[in-house]
Amino acid sequence: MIRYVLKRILMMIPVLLAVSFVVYFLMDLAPGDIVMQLAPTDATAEQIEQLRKDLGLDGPLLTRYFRYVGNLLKGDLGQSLSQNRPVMELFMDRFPATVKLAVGSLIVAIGISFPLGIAAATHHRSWLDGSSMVTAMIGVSMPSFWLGLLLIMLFASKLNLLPSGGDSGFLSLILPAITLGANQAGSLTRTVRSSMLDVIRQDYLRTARAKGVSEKQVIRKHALKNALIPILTVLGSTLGNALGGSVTVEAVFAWPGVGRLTVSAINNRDMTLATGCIIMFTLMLNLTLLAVDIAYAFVDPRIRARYSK
Amino acid sequence: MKLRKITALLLCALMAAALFAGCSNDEKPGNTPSGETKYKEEIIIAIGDEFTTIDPMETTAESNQIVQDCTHDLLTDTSLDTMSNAPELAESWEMVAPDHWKVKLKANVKFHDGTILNTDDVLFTLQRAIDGGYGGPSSVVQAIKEIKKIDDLNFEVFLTKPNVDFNYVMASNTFAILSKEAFETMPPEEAVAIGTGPWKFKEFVSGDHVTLERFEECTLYPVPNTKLLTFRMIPEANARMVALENGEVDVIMSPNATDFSRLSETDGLQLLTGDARTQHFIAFNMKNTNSIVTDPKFRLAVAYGYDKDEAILAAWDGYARKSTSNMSRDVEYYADIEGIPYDPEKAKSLFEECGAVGKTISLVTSDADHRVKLAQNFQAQMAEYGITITIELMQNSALTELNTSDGTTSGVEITIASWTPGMNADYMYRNPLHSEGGRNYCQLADPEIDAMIDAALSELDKEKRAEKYLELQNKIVTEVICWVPIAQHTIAFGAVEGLTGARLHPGLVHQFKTVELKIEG
Repeated sequence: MIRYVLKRILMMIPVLLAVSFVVYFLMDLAPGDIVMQLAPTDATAEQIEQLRKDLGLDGPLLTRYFRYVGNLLKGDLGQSLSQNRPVMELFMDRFPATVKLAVGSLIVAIGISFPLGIAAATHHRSWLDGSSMVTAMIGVSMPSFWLGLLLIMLFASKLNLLPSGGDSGFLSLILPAITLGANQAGSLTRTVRSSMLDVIRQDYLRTARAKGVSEKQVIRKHALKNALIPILTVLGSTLGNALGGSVTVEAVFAWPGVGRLTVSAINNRDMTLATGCIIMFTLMLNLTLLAVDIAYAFVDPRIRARYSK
Repeated sequence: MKLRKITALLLCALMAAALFAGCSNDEKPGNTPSGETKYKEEIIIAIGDEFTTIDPMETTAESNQIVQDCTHDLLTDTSLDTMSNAPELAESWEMVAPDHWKVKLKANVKFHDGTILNTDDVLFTLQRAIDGGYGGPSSVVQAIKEIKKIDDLNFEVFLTKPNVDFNYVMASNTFAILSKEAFETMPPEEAVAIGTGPWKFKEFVSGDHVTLERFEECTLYPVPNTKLLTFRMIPEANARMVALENGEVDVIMSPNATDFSRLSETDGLQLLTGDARTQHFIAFNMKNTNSIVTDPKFRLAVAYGYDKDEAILAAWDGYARKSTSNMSRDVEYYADIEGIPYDPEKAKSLFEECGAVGKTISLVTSDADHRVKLAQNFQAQMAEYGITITIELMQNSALTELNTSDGTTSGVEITIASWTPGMNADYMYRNPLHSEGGRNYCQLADPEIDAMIDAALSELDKEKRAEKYLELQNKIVTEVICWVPIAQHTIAFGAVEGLTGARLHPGLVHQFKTVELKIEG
């Protein structure tokens, strides 16, 4: 097991390097120049060139990239060009808010998708199944900014029950978590339903029913547990994606997460900050997927047995 | 059974939490004991763009400079009462020669660390700007050859080249005066927050808010009645509006034009408006000799045929003032000239004469909402004359890069852009119209215009200088026509009724030095 985890961690290094390469080069290819943004509007050509030199942006692209990677291998994500602060520090300033929103939205998504998906599967081809799937489709199709603004209008503006935005405690988390969670719940509901449908038709469940086990017990203890593997995979990638920040939800609710930080870095052509944020996002996604793989072992004894060999 | 209990408990917790949320706004006007006048302890201002640093040298972004204006001061600044360059930390200045100035500082101005402002702080600030390689104050660094201390409050400035507008250079937001002693006794990241303004830096939560507290020993301004001033970052204009209506914030910046009437008609709210100094314009690439835009007849036709009222309605719902000149209204030496009036018939015949009818011309602009609308409206207007306009949108920094690259090869024909100048006329002309200007979007390289700009700057007599700028204005707008001025848009705040001291700045660095909100019982 430990060897497997170590192997997976080592495999992340080439992934991160590849991501850094792609992002760094794409950022350089994109039109726009951070030096023009940082220089005052009346700066002369000489002043602009001097600033480019001061920021370390005057050398050839490959030289700059290898210098960047050299620092990256030492764990240094560099200095933000637009904010003149270490990228890691800027990222970590925002990361707790992103984790809060990611976890909050996942709780909402699970809270909606599990009952709906299970009900749809156990009442296959009934009105309950149909309405659950329609609800799931609505969740997936609703644009986050639209749902977010509607929730703000209702709960903040009309009812004055919840704050309209910002990160000022538990109450401020409710609306963004619902907005993001509703979107995630759509696809999760469909996964729960199809996994449950696969399991429900298995012989061992028929046996359990024949032995007189109640339907609730059959679903909770036998069916759900066995249906968890594909659900865990989707949950893992949903959480991983949410840890990268949701730009739309963060913008609507003024949520201080990494999504807004990354987008503003890209808009400002802040190469080191954008690359650093995306590398950190890739790392988070990989770690989450690794955690999901490890979690498989806990829910499936067959996998556990394979690890122990 | 268990599940039901958990669900019930969760619902109860949510309802209780919501109940507390509903009761949390206890500082709204009218909620205080009757009879006495009190001030709201904390004023919260919602800003759209992110605040990123308290260091004035690091940034030219308005969202940062608005906060820095509360904590730091400049040697001179724009007085919003007189709309002229006025003393701030400098008590007076004297131009000994166009390249030699004498400045006297105000006495007993206290920094947040308790030290008193003196010449060494000015020298230190300049040295930091030189050593640090900061982009922001590079024009100040470039302008100054040497500063010589005379005594604690007086110093001489020797310039690299003559500049009769040096008092405006001292008003650069990136050249806020820092405390030398603070840098000697504190870590730099703390020392840089030490200024002389009426507000002290208290807390910054990245992406969320920055909080300032009043500077009790402030000697330069009256001590504010408000204890705390918080700038909350709310990127969405609709969300800012809801936050104001909901009582979560007291001021919102840049509300949507569609919300202006709602703000002025809603009880308990107010709308504050003014003209931005920003000049929006259509620029022709004067170096693109392959394009019809270098034909003076075509440019004149566009100037005659472009209905600015219609454009203003499309881009800002009518909330902008039509421009007839390339100069913005509150810039020194602005003269109200007639420009080229809207005359579609004249435009039609000129377009036919120059062979523009049936042609396809490209237009580039940034993806900002008002620019997209201006571009689409221009496209529709030109279609009426039989000209096809293709629009290419790009991110703002990409547009700047494209328009400041070599105009002979960039392929750009028409650009919709804007320019927010300082108060001095030279800045208004030099950057967008001088061949060496940093933002010469129309790629103008006209030796006659260059000479006129330089001559106006070196003219000492105010009346003669005004004449020179008037001549330049007419030449640019009616003869050269390298750009067609469109409008200066309306800037606005939405605020709680009774709030005072929030001042709109045409240069977009709005002022909150004396902001307060009376709570009357």
